[in-house]
Amino acid sequence: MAQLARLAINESDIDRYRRELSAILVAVERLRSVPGDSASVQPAATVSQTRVDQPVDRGEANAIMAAAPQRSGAHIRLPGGTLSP
Amino acid sequence: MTRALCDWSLVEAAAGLRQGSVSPVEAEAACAERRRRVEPTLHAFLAETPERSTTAEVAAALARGEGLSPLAGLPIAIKDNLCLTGAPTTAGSRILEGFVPARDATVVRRLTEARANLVGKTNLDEFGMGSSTEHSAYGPTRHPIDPTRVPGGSSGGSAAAVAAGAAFAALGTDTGGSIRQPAAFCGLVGLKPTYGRVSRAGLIALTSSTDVVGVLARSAADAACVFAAIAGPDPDDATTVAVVAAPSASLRPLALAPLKIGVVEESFSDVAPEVVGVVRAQLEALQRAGAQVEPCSLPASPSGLWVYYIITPAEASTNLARYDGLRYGPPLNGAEPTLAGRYAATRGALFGDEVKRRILLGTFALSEGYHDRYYAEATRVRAVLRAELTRALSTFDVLAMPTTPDVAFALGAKRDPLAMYREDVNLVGASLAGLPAVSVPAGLVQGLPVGLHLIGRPFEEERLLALAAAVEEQRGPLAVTTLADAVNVE
Repeated sequence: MAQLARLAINESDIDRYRRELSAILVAVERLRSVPGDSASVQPAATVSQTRVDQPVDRGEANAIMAAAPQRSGAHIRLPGGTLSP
Repeated sequence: MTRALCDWSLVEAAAGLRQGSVSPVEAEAACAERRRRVEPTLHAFLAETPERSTTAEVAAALARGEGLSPLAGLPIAIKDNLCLTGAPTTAGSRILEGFVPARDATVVRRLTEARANLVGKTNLDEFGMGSSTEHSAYGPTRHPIDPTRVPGGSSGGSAAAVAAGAAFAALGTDTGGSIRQPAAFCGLVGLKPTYGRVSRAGLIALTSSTDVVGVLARSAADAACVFAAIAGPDPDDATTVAVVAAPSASLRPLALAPLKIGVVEESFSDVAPEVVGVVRAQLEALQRAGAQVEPCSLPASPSGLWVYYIITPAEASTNLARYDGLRYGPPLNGAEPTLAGRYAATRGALFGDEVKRRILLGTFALSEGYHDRYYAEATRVRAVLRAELTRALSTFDVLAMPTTPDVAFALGAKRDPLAMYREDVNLVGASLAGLPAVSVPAGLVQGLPVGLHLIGRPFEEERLLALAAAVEEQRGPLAVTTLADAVNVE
């Protein structure tokens, strides 16, 4: 599991984590005894408001260009070449 | 004894500024002096931000006779999981050491537009994972009344700073009780707004389906002032809702006569008898004042804790996958030959114990073969809980319960993760259902504050705060002796 989570865990901690996580999962098993069907329930109190999927010029490209240490026209100059915004 | 300026309520201080009896410089100096005296004991702050002082511009605006926001020129603290340009933002984690955001969080920008004096970043449990602020990588914060105890968490630094007089109010974040529990422990009003009422743009994500930015303040009226400044839709956060009128900064105690309060009976099991006594007494006082107070049952509510401790780790394991020592975090100079090995070594070394525990749990709950048994089951019961709360709030205007099972506990007293998680048992329901909730001090047990927890219908924060103001009126001032009193006497 630690490998899947990309976490290096000390050998000395493995038993402790195993014990703690097992205790939590035993407690979580109680959820099975809660009756009820969720099919008719809206998952959240609010619904996300998404904007129209169109590009918007928020001036960020200009801000990034202004922050670049070296520029060449509309490009950022890098040690080995240039990068377009 | 005369009250020090830094112990005034935000509303009182704002009136003082308008009337010219105090100046922004005096307000800043009073809080800075208090911070200097209590901070070596409390450790409420991770960084000071003097560059965000607004005293000069507010003094000039007052001299010109300009109308100002009630927050103008008053010291406000910011939890350190909210981005503030130019200041380190660590979220209490070593993996974000050295990270300085390029943009303000929307709530920080809104406070800046209100000309609040942002005085510093406050301590928290790492990434908001904890109920005591003991899980900060930068050391624990201590309780402002009894420094041998915890201030609660994860917004413990914000709570301690406000209760001790180092700021007039603070922003906190609440994923499963992280504003309301420290507010209860420290004798403050803690407001968790409806999910979608306040922008999270610039908040370091923990659990995207429940994270909310809110307020810790010394009174309901103070909380209303800050809430009015930060609430509202934001194009940078698609979960914010545009269909609600802007809240008002001025607050009157709620007329109690037509109000129906449902007292959630399941919420009193496993609560200390003294805490039960204080909360029941406060509810009786509301009843005598005209509210209709009746018992109410939410049978699934005790299961909310276990729903929360599957949903949160699952979302956190995903949100925290980005921290690998490349874009964020100091790279380790190890001898790992592979990129995956480097990721694991960095994350293993720089994440704290509680964060690793929750990432492991969340990864497990989402993994093939266990997803249906844990995550899908938690999602099912979450919907059951939400349906139960919705039904109860169609009968009652507000639901009431103790905020916490007991008063603030001693540092190091809850080393067992399950014992720490049980702190949130009455708080996670509102988070999972996206409902607004407030904790207001109901009284004291052995000199330590006890919180009354009130849950309302979506977007009814103003009604909740007005009810909290009515509780304050019934209760009268809390006679607490804080660390600040002790240092003032020195």
